[in-house]
Amino acid sequence: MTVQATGSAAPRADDSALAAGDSTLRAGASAPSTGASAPSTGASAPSTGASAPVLDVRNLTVSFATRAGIVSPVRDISFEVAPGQRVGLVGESGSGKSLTALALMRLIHPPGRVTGQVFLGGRDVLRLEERDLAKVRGGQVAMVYQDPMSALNPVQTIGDQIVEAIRIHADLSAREARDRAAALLSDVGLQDPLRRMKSYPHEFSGGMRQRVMIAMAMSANPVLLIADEPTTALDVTTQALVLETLSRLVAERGAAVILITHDLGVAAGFCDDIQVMYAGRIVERAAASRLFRNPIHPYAEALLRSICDLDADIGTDLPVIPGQPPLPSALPSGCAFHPRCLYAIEVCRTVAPTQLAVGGGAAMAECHRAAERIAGTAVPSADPGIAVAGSDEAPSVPPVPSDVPSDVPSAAR
Amino acid sequence: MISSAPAPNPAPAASNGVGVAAGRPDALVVVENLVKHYKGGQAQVVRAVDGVSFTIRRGETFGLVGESGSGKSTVARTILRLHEPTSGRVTFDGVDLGSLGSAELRRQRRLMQIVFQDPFASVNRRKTLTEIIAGPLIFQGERDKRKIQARTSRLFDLVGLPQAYAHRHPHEISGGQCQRVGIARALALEPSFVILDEAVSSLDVSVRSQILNLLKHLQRELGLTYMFVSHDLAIVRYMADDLAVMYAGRIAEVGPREELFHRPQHPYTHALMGAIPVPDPDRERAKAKVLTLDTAGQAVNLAGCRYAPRCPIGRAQDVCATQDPALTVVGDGHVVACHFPQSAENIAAAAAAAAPADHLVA
Repeated sequence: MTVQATGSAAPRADDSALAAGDSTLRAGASAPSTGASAPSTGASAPSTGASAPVLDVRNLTVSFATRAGIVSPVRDISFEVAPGQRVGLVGESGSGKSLTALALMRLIHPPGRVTGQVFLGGRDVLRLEERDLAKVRGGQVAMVYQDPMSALNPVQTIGDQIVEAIRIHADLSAREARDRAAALLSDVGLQDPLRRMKSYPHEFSGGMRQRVMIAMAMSANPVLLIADEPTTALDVTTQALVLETLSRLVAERGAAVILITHDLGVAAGFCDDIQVMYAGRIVERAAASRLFRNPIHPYAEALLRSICDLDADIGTDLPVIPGQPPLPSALPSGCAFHPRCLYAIEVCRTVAPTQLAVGGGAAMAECHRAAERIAGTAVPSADPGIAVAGSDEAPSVPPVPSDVPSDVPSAAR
Repeated sequence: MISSAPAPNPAPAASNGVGVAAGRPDALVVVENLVKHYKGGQAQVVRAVDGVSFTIRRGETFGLVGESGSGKSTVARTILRLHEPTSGRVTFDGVDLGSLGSAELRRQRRLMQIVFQDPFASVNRRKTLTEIIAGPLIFQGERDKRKIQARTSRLFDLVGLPQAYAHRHPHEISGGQCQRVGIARALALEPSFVILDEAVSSLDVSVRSQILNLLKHLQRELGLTYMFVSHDLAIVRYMADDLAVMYAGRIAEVGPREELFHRPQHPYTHALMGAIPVPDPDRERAKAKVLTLDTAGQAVNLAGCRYAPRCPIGRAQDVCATQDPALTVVGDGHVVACHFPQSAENIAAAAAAAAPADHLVA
């Protein structure tokens, strides 16, 4: 049983929530957080100000019963998304980010178990009737996944699939729906949409398929778009084009976005705010510009430093995070990151950290040494917790930094 | 030193300055006018690799960058003759690989190994890690169990795998560890040349850096020559001494790392560089991101420059549509196949001007 931090649930920062980020940081460079143009579809959305969150997640936990007992890959997380806001959910594989997305849409089926609350326009998605749930999925909330080929029906034309999606959520005639589909495809940058609608998915490139998915997702004017690694399978130049299209569309329609990605560069370019996940917890939440400049959580910092980008120093080793992420079935005690943390001290090994608000809004870091880190007084501990986990399996030849300690299978690859 | 010879397809032209490179004493692998065509459906020919030439210098890392479908992996496999080339020549340490019979080729392959992208797909899941790593030794005729044991044990150390993992199976280890197994297997026969084909692309950020560091350490320790194939320009920059940018079966630009990154000339190289997401919101948003046209799904232009339909400059030029660009030397070892080699500023300006509404964003 692994839920340890229950008592430390996110301090709800009322309405202003994430959108404000901390301090002054939304430099206006991009990403209009057009609260004013909040979409009008959500029938029962609370009629408060523009900043009432479109999504309010409270104490969300995803658990699975296994032979080894109950494991919880997502552990008691809470966050809000404001209208038009773009929230990045970043982390490595196994951190729980994709499960979070599935849980939000109630797409986790038994034996998986989801607890907590997911308020969408004032109603808890986790407790909706099936009929209402169908309206939410693809209606108020749309999803775009990594692999468009597996999301599209290979034996149905692109046009038929979009028309079907449109008619599920809008009372339109076949012809009206067809016109709408053509307009949407043109919107996402497909030339000659009427001809394209007669094509089958295999006739499209990966980038074009992902554009079709985006068109389909936007077809019901969702208030929230959940994009799970939408460009990970694409080439860099195509990725840039698709992200640009996605960015333009959500801005035009005022839709909020949860962008799930392992690519911090993609998150940096797209998101207002970033939530960093590790071992099923959100360990830091911050405005994108602050996170990338001044990460508080040692994991966020280590993750940023370990990226091999165009500035990497060629003459030296790349900074690495020793070890590898734990499996939910074998979480370390205390702070789940402590065995890999350069700042780990004794308390980190035994006590789960609580969240510390950082600056304004909902920005926070979940780290025992957050206050020291903010003050700039945190010194790396002489005895990093690395040796603690599975040191018996440490490699015998040290010069090569190793991803060893975890002694657990890499199940889902 | 390095050159690229996109001969007018498909006729090979043996004289394209490649000889200069081939004659260099530090050349380990010389690729000349390599062509690999596949038969597609309906009597079509897929020109996966269409006249590629370069030289890999001993002890260095040669980077090959390109998008999926550019032919970079086909080049890698054709060099090793895992696929038979349609035409062209590959010379390894002075030996023309095309002239070898199968027994000779097998002996030669001891020296040339490859690490694949998907660590789990490239190992036999029913074997233990020791058996996997010992595989090449046994395949090459080693029968002495003690020797095999000693060698695999040494390889575990070399790649940072705990000896305690000796009897584990691939599903019991992580992706990063499994890629260490793939590297250990490639090193089992003490090769001098290793092709790393997207060897870190499927790994998480933090583990990826661990493996890149390992590869650099191994190169220094064992004096290896690498060919590093990747779609990720940032990683290739970190690893490679010289690099080539491939597009649609051809080399668009090739040169030493510093030269190529400081003075890129091919519009496609610019597009690739501009498209790399930078983990810094301010810089990411400030830069000109997309310097290429979005013509996904269009047929490749075989008559002239293959990049012309997507090129903000070439799209408007007749010569680009009709004539294969010849190689131009633009710096020391820096060669570009482009009718209009450009600076970064010119490309950005041209891209902005050429932008037809939705289809290009600068």
